[in-house]
Amino acid sequence: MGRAWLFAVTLAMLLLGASRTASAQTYKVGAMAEAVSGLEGGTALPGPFRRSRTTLRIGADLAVDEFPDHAIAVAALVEVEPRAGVGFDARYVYRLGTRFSVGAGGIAMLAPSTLIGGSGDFTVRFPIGKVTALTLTPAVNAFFLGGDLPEDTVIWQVVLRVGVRFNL
Amino acid sequence: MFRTFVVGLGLSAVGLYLACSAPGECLRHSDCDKGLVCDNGACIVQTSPEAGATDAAVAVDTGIAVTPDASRADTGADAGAAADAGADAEVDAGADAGEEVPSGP
Repeated sequence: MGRAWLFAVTLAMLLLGASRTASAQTYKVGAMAEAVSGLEGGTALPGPFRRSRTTLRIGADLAVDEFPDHAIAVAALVEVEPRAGVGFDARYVYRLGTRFSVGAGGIAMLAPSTLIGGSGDFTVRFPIGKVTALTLTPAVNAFFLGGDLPEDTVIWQVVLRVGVRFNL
Repeated sequence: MFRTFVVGLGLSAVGLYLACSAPGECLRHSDCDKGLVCDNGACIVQTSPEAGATDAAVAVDTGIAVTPDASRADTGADAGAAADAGADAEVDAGADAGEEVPSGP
């Protein structure tokens, strides 16, 4: 009986503590807009590489103040040139100090046809105000699934993302 | 020194990027126009068994127009002028018949 009472009290204290921690959490949200282009190649391409599609990337990232160095970022992708397409990416971002961060995640194009792959990047921030920073992000993408992919083909991309980020 | 290296690296990257022409070949199906697919870096007409059967059927239908060749072979052995006349007549007749078929029933 005494053991059950002790267990109940401990559980109640843990729940209260957890809820108090949850209520104290604040979210750190950022928004970004970037232009993306670079080089791409694949096993089906006769030459070594070519210029990749110019893409606009608009997204947001979310971190909790308890773990400010860890964030989840999602973004919409709009291919604008020379062919149009839309998609999105989702990634885990780890901040290395105030100016650098690395990220890894998935990337998918949804229209006009599907293309799915993985992505990794390294971001450098150049603060230009209290909430605004210019960003420069070299990134590597690899697409290995989807209806837009010719048979037995893997597409790789080495791109540079240039844009602006706001702390909201 | 480091800044010079970074600037040089950046300029090299920009030069490499600009040296790449706009995409001419295909890497994805969506690089190709509608009705074409990407195959080994080139856009080709999408072929399927159904499309092949349709093409074959069309070829058989148009093969009826080959009839003048057969008559030409027959009449060509007799006289060239007669063969031309016969062929013309048959082509005309065929054309007439072809026009009548769709509007008949």
